[in-house]
Amino acid sequence: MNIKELEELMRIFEASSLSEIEIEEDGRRMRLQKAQPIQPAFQPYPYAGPPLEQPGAVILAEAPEAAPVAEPEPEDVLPTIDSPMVGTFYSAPAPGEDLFIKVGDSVEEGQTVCIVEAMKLMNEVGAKLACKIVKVLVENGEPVEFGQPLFAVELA
Amino acid sequence: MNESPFCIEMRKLSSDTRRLGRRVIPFDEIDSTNTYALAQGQIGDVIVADRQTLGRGRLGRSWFSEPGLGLWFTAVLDDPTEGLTFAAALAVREAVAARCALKIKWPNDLLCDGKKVCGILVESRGGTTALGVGLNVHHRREDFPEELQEKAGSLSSVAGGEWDRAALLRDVLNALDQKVILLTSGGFDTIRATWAEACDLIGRRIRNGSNEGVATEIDDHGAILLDTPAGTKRIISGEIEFLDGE
Repeated sequence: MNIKELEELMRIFEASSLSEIEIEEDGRRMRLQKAQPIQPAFQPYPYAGPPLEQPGAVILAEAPEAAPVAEPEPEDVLPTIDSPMVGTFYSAPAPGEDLFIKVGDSVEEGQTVCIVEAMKLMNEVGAKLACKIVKVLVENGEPVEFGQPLFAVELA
Repeated sequence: MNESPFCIEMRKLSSDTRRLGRRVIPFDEIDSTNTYALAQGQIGDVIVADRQTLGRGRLGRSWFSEPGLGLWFTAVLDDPTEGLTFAAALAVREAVAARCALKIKWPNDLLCDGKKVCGILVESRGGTTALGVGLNVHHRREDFPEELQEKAGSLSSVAGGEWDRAALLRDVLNALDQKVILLTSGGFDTIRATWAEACDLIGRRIRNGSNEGVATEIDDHGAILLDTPAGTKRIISGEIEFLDGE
């Protein structure tokens, strides 16, 4: 199953009344489980846990764990755009060029907000929903983990 | 309008027997084959140009791509499979192996006698992946801009002889197609050992950004484990520089 098929499966699963689904294909087993609240496109901000591991198939279904932060500030619950992979974060297409986006920008669904690079694969990260950028959470050139929040946003 | 001999030759390479290059779309001139691929390529297309006016490498660095000199093309795939950038380097290396022994410089540059002969840039956007290859073919030393003459080479400058760009594209696409099939059916493990060996990294002293140390391992995802005074660092991005000679 490729990523596209997996995303499609997740969409169907979310829309369904099922609470759990388990699939085995070519010796690889995957379990999707709903938890509350489910926010597939956005995770709570801030990311404060240990570095996240490269995902197995199951991790996509995990409920966002409460970040171990003692007293969350109101802005901590802003949704975020997260890194789809381990890599290096770039805020512009090339050094010296305009940033993809900056704080205060309204972003359309699918619009590129940054690049995450790993081993010369330049992965343009697109916003999954229309939103407004509230805060940029990582510096240009900084290493990022899978699932690490990159931008705190307000949904449009 | 009559097509140029370049376009006619390249278009003939379209083949239903491959996943990549079912449709070869040739241009005498284009801004960048990767840009075209991301904007309007369909999965399986191969975009090839005699000249790129805005050919680029990693982080927007320009890629010298003058007419008649090289093979500049982009294969369009769907989501990137792990190992794709390495598979591309192996495919080019295999395609020319009978006449020219290329080394892979992690992660996927191809060098001969310490000179870069081929660069690969893979860009992914919204389910479309552009696998761009810039292979220097006919350049003489003086064809490169002065600042590149010590660092860049071409197949004919390092291995001599005549090279047919259409035959090269055919051979690279055939090899690449096989690698992509391996990756999608068996995962990165199917090519990892061959690629890691071709990188010739283990035990070498290298620099990556501010990190310097000895490469001890290439891990399951293709990252370098670097033994540094500050502990083991996992290198996944950027360029490496050999500190113990090429």
